[in-house]
Amino acid sequence: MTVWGIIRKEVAYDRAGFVVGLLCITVAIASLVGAVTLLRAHKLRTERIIAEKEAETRRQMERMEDDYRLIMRGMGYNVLVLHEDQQIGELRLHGSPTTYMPLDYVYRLATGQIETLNHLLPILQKRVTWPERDREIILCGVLGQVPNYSKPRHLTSEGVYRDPITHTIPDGTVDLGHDIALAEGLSQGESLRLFDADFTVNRVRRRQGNEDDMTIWCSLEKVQGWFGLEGKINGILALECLCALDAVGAVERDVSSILPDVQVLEMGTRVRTRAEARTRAAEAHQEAVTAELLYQAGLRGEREVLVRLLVPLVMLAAAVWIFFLILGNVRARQGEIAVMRTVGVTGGTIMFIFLAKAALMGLAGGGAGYFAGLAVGALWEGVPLWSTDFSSLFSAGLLGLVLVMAPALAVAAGWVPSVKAARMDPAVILSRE
Amino acid sequence: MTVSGKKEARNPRGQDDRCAGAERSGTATLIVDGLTKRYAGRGREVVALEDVSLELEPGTFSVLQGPSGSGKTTLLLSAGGLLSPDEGRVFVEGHDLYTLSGGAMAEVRARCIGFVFQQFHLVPYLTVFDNVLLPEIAHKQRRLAGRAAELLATFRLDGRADHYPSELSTGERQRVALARALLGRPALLLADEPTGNLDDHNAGIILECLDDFVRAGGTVLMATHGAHRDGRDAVYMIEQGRIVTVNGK
Repeated sequence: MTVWGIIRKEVAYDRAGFVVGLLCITVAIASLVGAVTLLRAHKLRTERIIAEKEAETRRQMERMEDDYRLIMRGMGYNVLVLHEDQQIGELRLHGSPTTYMPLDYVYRLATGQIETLNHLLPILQKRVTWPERDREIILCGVLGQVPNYSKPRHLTSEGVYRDPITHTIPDGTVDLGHDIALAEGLSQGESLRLFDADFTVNRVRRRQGNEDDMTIWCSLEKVQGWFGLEGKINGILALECLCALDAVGAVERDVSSILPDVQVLEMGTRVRTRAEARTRAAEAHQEAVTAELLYQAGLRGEREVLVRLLVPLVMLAAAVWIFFLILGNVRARQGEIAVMRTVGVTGGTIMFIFLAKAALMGLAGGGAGYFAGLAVGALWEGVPLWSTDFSSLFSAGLLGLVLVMAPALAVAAGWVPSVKAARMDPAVILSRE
Repeated sequence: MTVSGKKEARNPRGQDDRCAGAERSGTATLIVDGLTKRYAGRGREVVALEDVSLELEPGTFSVLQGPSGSGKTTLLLSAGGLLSPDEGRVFVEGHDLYTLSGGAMAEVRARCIGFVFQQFHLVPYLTVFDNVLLPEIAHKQRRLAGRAAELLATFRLDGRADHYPSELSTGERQRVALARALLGRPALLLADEPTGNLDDHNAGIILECLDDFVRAGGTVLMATHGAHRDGRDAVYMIEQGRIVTVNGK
């Protein structure tokens, strides 16, 4: 006969009492593990929701970015880089910039690792009278687009501009604005004379509804020569890259970091409006994600409060229950305790019998409570059992902790009754009879 | 019916005589010297035992006789090291019980003293065999299963070894309790009304078992409130906590 044999047989005899204690521990541990699992499952779910929302936002923004890139490209240049001394009033009055800057500026921008501008087009623009036709025109000398070298995707493998907005105007040709061509009865391939030189109409541009309709484009070199402005330009047209959600100020910052003596004039408010609408859409998406995060954080906070209140209460209730259960057991077994004392069993051994039984109860209840709590917590959060999410909720560390904590709780709860059993006076019990 | 074999006729504890202490003095198994025990109750003191002394030699059967409340159980419990007296000393096999530590006292109880009670106090979830073997958990060596089987055979309980106490008659229960008391080969058996719940037939069997134990060299002190049977070594009449008459052979 061993102490463990006595414990085993007593447990088998008083199965109901042991099972009640075990259930008590199971419920206490299940509430703890369930709460932890609930919070962990909630965290997983929140992370998934947020990740899905962010991915959806990213997909939408990428789609919008492509859309806007195409739209903006179709709408043409929207930024004009001017010399800093250029008065905007003068520009409006004359219809073209009146201050000049070196052609080199465009190459400095192109090689300056600038992110906010694309499609750089140096121009030398002057409002003049077409002497051969006695017509007010805007003469615009263009070199052809200079690629932004920080964006190699704009270049072919041969280093040629992949897809320019404005094509180079071949020597001896001009492009005509819609109104001029119409007024002069000129069309593609026809000849004309301009500043004592003969040109062929390279193409007639579509109607724009602005000063472009009364513009003649020809080679930059020709215009520089006509006006004695060799090596000079008076503007750089560019496409502001609004697709990257940068604020307009970012373009100015970028440009002025390379060319401190220029100013950036924005054109095309429609593009701006659309870009801002897109930015607002992106912000709305971000706000939705933030709102979801806040909502989930609030929900988690409420649950944490509940857990902080509920779990200690349940643990305390379990401890009290086990205390009374073991106390009842001690009272029911006092005759046996007395007899054991008479046959020479020490108080320590008797105490060990009750504490070991409590520890066994705690160990079994802890194990059962862990898996019950895991299942309940997962199901509560809608995580199906046998799923990978469910297995990711399993924590060997928490199981280990529970398998130590539950017996410790049961032993702590059973300590006083066990001490009482150990100190029970057999003489008092035996002399009652 | 015999309690033990020839070897036990010389020594009821057999060869493993661990209860004999170095400080053992004289030959008496039990010496009670000037024992006084008082209880405080409802504002007044009750004297349960007053200056009680007795000395029991090995191989003697003594009866403690007196009415209920006379102090018989108190004397037995004190003699067995279960109830600390207010005054006086108790020696069992030479051990001055109430000078011992709790562990040493438990050891002496395990090795030297057997108890039998009117209410049997069998453990309900243990079989007859396990009940008899129960004292083994107090013994450091674990070789008492053979002894338990031997006692069951002696008390004609071998056919009941796997039964639970609830399946036994009262006489059988008391025999199980007696077998349990004898498992550790005690020198002293303290029996408190062991036949109080038994009919004459079963009482006779129990008394015969006790006689066998005494014949094997053991010492019995039995408390009873009824008339004792003839042939005992000594009868101590106790009234109001005092031994008033001693009739010895």
